[in-house]
Amino acid sequence: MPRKPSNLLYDVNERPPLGVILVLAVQHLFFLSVGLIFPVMIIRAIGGTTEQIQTVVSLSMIAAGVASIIQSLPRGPVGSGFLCGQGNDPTIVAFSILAGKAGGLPLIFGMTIVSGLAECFMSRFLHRLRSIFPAEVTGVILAMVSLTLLPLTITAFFGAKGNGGAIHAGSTIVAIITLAVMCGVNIWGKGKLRLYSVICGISAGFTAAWLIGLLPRQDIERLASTPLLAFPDLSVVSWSFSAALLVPVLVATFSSLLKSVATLTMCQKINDADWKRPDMDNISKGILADGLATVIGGALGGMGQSLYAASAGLSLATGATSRIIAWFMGGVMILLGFFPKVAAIFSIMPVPVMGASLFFILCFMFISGAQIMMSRMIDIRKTFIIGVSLMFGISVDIFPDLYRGVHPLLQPFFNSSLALTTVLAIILNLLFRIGITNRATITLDPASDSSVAIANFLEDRGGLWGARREVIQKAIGALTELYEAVTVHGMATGKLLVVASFDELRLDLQVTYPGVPLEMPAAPPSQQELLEDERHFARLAGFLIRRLTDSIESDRTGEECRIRFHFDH
Amino acid sequence: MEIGARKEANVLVITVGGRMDAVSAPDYEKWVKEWIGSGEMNLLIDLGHLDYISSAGLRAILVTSKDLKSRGGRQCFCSLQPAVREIFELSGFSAVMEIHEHHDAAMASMSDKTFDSLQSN
Repeated sequence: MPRKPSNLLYDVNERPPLGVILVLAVQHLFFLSVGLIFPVMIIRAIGGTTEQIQTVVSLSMIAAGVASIIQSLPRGPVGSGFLCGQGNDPTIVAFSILAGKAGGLPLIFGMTIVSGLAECFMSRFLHRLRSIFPAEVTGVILAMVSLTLLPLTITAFFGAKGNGGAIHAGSTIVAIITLAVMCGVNIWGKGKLRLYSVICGISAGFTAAWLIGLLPRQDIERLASTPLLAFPDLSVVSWSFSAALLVPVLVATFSSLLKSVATLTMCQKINDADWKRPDMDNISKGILADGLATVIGGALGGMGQSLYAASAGLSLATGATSRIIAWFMGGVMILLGFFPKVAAIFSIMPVPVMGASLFFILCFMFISGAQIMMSRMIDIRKTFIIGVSLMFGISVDIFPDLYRGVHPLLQPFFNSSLALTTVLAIILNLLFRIGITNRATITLDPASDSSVAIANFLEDRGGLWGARREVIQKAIGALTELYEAVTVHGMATGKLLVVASFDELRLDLQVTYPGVPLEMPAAPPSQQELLEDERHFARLAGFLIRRLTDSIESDRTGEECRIRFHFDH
Repeated sequence: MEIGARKEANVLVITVGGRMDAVSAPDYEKWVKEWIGSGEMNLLIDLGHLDYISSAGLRAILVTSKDLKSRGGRQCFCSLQPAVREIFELSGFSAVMEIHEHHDAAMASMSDKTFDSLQSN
């Protein structure tokens, strides 16, 4: 079982008190409610009616509720077991508008089902694609997810209308108050107050917006006129399919899948103090749930669903990742599908309050991405993978017109900074693997000082292989101890040949030298023994090697001694 | 390995940085023995900048510790980095050496002991 990180108040398996669960579930709903805008955008773009919007929003909420519960299932073949809210997928907005213009709502729902089935199919092969998703690639994608949301977040924060809009003073004051309360409660809040940092900030933001006059009267009137209870009008639900849309659907699905892989990696890291690498079996189950959620969305007459990294970021910010929160959140979302008045409360959140809340969460998402990237030793290859993919990705947002002339077939990859970053990171990772062998050798001469050579050799190879720093440090310690013990105490009569081999799960060092084997006792020599006889320091070295390695074997053939160090990775 | 020393009250603060292995440990042993020989009886060894220590480094520490003890002196260590602390713990040195989290705690401890020592005399 993963070790609970010290910054979590409630980990994934713990059960907070009922009141705490409900407040935390509502906090997550505020973030997922951002996705309510997507069906509105799509249906307005295809000339749909207000009633259609109301129905699709309600059915999407029901789908999101079911999806969040499925995603949090701890056992069985479906679901990652984590608290991570599912909501309307922004990645499929473009193809949904395309489908809607070609065949109305039925084609949107039909192709959403196709997208979900494709994701389910892809999930079955993810565990074989571990080499495509090393830590630096998933970290880059996660960092880019947060940067992709930045334009939307910043303009909302300052109340600006689009990229060129001017800063609105009132909105800025509301946003600063919201962000200040969230940060203040998070940094200085005593005990479990941190759990409520977001709801405290949102409440302060709502109050400030009301005092400044940023809660529009028409929003309040719209809330008043929305019916309390209404069953979604299922007459709009039917399905059709189009082979012509298959390519854009598959591209969008793959892009959504990559984002979800990064989000699930973040969930794993948040919940495990000893996190080492993405657990692809768990991610496969999470992606299968993600795909099924999209199938359910399309089948119900709602939008495709995807994991919300902001929800994972929120659980990190509040220190509560209990999956029971996901069950309550899912249950409330399903209910909201039938109570449009309550759902409307989330939709009237003032724009600067939303901007400040997203800003708060983006900080956690970006740092999680950076931590995942830097969990491996960074060599020149990884420097380029991270640097090139991030910088070209960001260029899409800075110079949106630059890539207009790209061939239409490649256009989907240049449509968003996230898509370009993801594709570049994956391609460069595969390309730069050329020339990396997973075996390396070094010869150590007892007649010269080789301890610096040992450190340089293992640090260089560790960087090339993407090994974890702490494993390489242990290997340096063990190999230096062996080298010093057999040379200082005259056990080696010739050179030491070291063969290092690495894969994602292990680092092995095999050392052969002519001479006498080193004793590796299970207990260290006493201080008295060490003071009485220098030779006991060789035993101390042997003991330290035994403790620094995860397993060790040694044998002797004639004059040749062979020792194998194994380190789990 | 980098080694330096400064006097704080009646305590000689020795700072050690870099790597203490079979090559550099003899330098540590030589310098510390010289300071002890010149009459320094209270040593605070600050390992805050020491990245790595091998069993040869532990040997140098043990030998100088024995020398100091035989002359009635005392020493303590502070600010060990995690990797160095791990070696101290694995080898059992943390059980027999006085180790403090940071410089101020070590200085306070040295001052207390010096005061106790003066009183008992």
